[in-house]
Amino acid sequence: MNEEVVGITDASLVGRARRGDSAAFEALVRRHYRAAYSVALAILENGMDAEDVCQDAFVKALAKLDDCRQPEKFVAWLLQIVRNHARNYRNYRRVRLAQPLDTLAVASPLSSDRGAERSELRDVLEEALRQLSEVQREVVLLHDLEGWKHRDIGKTLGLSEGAARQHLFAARRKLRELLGTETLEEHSNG
Amino acid sequence: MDDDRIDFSALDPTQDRVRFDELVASIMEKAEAELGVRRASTSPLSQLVQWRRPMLAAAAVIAMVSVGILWQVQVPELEEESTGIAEAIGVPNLLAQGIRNNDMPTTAELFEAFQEIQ
Repeated sequence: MNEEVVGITDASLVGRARRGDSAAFEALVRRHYRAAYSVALAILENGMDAEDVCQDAFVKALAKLDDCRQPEKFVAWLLQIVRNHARNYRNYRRVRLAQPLDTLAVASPLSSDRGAERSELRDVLEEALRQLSEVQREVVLLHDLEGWKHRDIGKTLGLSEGAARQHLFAARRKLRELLGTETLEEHSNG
Repeated sequence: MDDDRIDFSALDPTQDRVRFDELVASIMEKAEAELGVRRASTSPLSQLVQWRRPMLAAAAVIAMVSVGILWQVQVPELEEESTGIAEAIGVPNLLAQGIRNNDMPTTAELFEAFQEIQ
């Protein structure tokens, strides 16, 4: 990403993107992709689907950018689009999965440069996350993957700061039970 | 930051820089059409085109208001002007009024008018 957009606020980038500035829009994508992905993954429980939904959600957000009335709160607005899009996709996927298997498209293969170990670890994490509730997944991913604070998580999910904290606590406890300390330590050590 | 954080870096889509760049490039490719439309709609020419209709409407309103004002203002001005010309060339008021109203002055009025001149 070009360095000139690093210190620029979301509001300013949104203003520029509204005028068709590609660099500004790219900066918004790079800045908020991980948060968008966390929300999509929390809802869809599948990394590949979450990536697809994120891509579409960003394009949709650009098309509706004039509706973003508080550009300084762009990320909250974006995550709502991601959330809606992910829920629609989940419903669509349910219908698709109810169809006979031969009508389903073959999943695209993972890129070759991703290590098998990393892929395996990702699968283990995704499987453990599936055992949590949707709100627990979203809270733990936004906090531990994206680095958001309880207050911001509460705001975007319509929860109090205390409730966000409780969800995080419960989610971590369950993940530790599911994954075991050993897996988490191996994982942390790389 | 707290130490209880669970390491989700294996799920982090930005960890693999090459793949993340590909993801961003894919989004940008899909977004390019919309960005192009936005760029075009903010060019000076399209701004002018966008403002053409409101400008024409405003011009029409101004024209209508101006005609109305001129209509109201012109009528008394003409009257004043006629009286002014009559006075300038020395036609007595009484006669000038008679001429404007297309009335023939009576002998008494003519006599009175001549006395006014003298």
